[in-house]
Amino acid sequence: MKRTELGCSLGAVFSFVAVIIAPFAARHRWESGSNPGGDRVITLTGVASAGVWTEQEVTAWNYPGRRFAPAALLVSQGETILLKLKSADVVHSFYCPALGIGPLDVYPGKIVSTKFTALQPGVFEYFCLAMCGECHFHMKGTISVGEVATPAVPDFEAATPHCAAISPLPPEPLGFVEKGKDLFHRTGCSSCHGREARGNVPNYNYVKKVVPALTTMAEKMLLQDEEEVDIMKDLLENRADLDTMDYAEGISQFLRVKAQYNAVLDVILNGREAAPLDSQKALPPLRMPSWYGKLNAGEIDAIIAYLLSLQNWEKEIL
Amino acid sequence: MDRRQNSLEIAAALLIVAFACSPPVITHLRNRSESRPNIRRIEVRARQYAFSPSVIRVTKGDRVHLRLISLDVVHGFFLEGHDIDAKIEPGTRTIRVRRPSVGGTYEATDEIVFTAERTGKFRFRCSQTCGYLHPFMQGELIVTPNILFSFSTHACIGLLAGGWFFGLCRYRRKKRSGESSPSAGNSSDHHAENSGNGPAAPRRTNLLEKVPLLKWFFQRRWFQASVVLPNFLVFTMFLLAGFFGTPVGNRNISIIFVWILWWFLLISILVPFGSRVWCMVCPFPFLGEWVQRGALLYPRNKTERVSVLRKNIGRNSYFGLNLSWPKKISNIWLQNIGFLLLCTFSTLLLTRPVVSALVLMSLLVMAFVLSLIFKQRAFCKYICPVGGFLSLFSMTSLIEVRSKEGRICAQCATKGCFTGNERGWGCPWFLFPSKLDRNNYCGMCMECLKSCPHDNMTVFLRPFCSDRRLTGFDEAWKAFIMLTLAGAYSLVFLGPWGLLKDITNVTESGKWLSFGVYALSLWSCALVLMPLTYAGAIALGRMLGGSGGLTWKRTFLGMVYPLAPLGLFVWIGFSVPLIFVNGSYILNTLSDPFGWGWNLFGTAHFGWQPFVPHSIPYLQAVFLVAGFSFVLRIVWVEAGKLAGAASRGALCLFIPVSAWVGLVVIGFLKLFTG
Repeated sequence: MKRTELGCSLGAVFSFVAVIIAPFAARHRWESGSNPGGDRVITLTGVASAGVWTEQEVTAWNYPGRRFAPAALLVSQGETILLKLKSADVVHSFYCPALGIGPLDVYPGKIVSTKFTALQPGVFEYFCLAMCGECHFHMKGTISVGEVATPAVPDFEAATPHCAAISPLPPEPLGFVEKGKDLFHRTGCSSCHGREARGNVPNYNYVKKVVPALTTMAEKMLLQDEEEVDIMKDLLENRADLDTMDYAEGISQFLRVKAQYNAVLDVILNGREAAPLDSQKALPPLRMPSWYGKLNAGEIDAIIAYLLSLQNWEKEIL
Repeated sequence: MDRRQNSLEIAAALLIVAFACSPPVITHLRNRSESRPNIRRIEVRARQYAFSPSVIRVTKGDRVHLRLISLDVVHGFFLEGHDIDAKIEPGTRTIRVRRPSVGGTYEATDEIVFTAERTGKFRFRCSQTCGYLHPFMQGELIVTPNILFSFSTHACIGLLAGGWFFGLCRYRRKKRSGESSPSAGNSSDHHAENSGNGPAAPRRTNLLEKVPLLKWFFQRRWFQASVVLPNFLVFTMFLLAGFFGTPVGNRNISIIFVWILWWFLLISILVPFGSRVWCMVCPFPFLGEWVQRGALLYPRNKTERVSVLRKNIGRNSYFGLNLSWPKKISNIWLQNIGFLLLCTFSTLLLTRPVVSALVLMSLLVMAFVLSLIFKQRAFCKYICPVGGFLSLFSMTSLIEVRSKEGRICAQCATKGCFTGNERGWGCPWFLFPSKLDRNNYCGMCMECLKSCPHDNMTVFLRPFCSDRRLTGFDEAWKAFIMLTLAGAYSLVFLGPWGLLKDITNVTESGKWLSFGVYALSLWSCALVLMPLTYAGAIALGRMLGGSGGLTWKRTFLGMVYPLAPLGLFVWIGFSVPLIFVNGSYILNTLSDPFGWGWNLFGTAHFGWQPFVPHSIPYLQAVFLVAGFSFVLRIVWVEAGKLAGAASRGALCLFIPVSAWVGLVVIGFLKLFTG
């Protein structure tokens, strides 16, 4: 009786230990089994709340902490990489156009595997193509191939105020233009259009190569000078019903301005594809999304007013 | 004469039910002839974790044009009963649509167009994992006239009116016959009264006599270890998954197996059919009990020195302090409060693997520590939050552990089932198994089957709802807590309201103040509002019909009992959609329990596929209406037991209490089908 007791107790302890070890052992085997070529494996996990693709292991335990470093990958020239992509929360989409990876939709609970071999040296940007929340526009990083002098670790904190969406709302009730400025950063416009809308953000295979600046918005809307801009800002701020107006005091070409304004609105509300430079190559990763439903008319007008205020009229005179 | 009158009364009551059910049927028939279809253009905006508008009302025959946009992440739009599944990507006004019945790929389109041909409530659910609360993100399309809802509501009202009429007839007949011959009882109620408690009650079958193999199994010393240990190992794996698995709840086995599969099995099958059979296999007390007993299989006994030999004195020996549980808290109030507390945070518990794992682990640790301090299963009986409602609902169960013959127990001198002996451990639940008359605190460990020297303990099959005695306010309040929680869960998890989801999903939304209000209203509803209104109904009955010489407590506890089966029916109604809608995740997580990319059985990549989702409201309505008619009968019988069968007092108790129950049932019908 004592022997049976002891045997069973030992068996219980043993099976308990086995159950704890088994998943991790099995995981190791499963992973090596799914990589018969023995390629180098890089696993990236998309984390929406932090706006990163990270190489760190994301588990149920550490996920709520929400601090994950964006992956800056270093790859040797000609090396074959088995890239495993997974999501810790929502649907993401991995896209590295310059290396011909993706776009690959990454659904939570599934692991997407792909192989790539980088033949040319350089630093290539990767993105998330499926909008995945407030930090979506910051969800990018680099793959450095070959002998790169300094590993291009993107300093996200410095480059952009990292994911402005999760920074606290401004305390004071802002002026109209300031509100537009805040929205421009907060909603992520600045991630593609650059700080202060100065543009110059590279967009792979895009006709214009880089995202153009929006600092000449006033000129493009055919406003003639600072005074006209001020009148237009007032009209926007006071929610004037431009559709029914044929004439606005102080704006010389009002009807044409109105048409331009509507065209801008159309781009903001419905989005616009970025035309590729070379139709054989992968599509440009950055495109204007539709803001319909996300920004209301007042917010869009505030952003337009902010963009109008960026025009440098003195330079014009020179 | 009596029999004829009886059937006449039943026929009249049924006629009342049928009459009450007729208006919706008439509307249905009339509506068929006249239909003026409209074109309805609706824009639905999806965000984490709700659709806006959350409820779309259209008339049968309407042509519905839906435009869908997403405001944050990729969402889905699975409209049940219409074979529509869409993928809504943010940043574009184009959606991708497919027909789930055909499968295949999504096709880009601007809008979804369909004709609302069937009436009723159809839910549209998110079909793309979109965050923590994704499995509960849903809205409602209501195609009027909503026949199911109006029919089932009318049926409830009809049942109520029919029941009252029936009661009134019984009362008048009793009165009349009472005047002529005082001894004439009520034949049909007589039987119901006797099927209550006591080992000699009729209509129960000795299950172990029918299935000797089961008896053999229960009487093995290794029986309990053989069922608990595997369960404990599986549970350990769930804990691992909860910490090291994927944070995506619906892809983590700990969430899916505990809150979807286990919960459904527990409430819909284990409890109604197997009483507290869960306690038999429960992993929580396993470690503690093992250490406390110092053995996995054989009982250890105290011995004393008699001359040179050590003689077994017929009592078990335990490790640990073995303190007695304080008398003051020897009730289930701690379980009531603990359960309510846990359920206040249910949204976090049900959606975060790590929260689930932490809570489950702390229960395990608590059970372990308490079994070192207190005697036997103090944790299970007085602390375990699950134990409280198992205790209440096990009263309805179809099986029970009881003694075969009271006479043998009365003559038994050793009472080994209580003290323990060399054949088995004494009842770990501090019960006298020989005197067991209700299931509430019997954990079905089957030790008494082994320790009884006369083989006088067995498992009986019995009719549904055989235990009918609540012993204290703690148990009564449990019934109110369970009803309230079923309502709150139905609102939060099965309802379309994003605000409620935001409030309860408090760590993500940060709405702590609103959460406080929610928690406060939940607690006051469960602990004050529900009991108070119910007590009001009972007080009204006592006022009109007299107290019948019973104390207030006695009447109250007697009348609260019907809320136990009511709670069970309502909980089953709530649990059905959980498993029907999310059942396919069980297959996914079985193949990939940790979300690490495994595919053990080839089912890891099965798409999310709700099981007959459009018929869920019908199932729920059937459950509720059938349950209501059953509970109605129990209320009548219980009132009769308290105030005398078919007496004026019984009728006066029956009417307001059944009205209260009817209101609750109609409230749930509204939530499930309306």
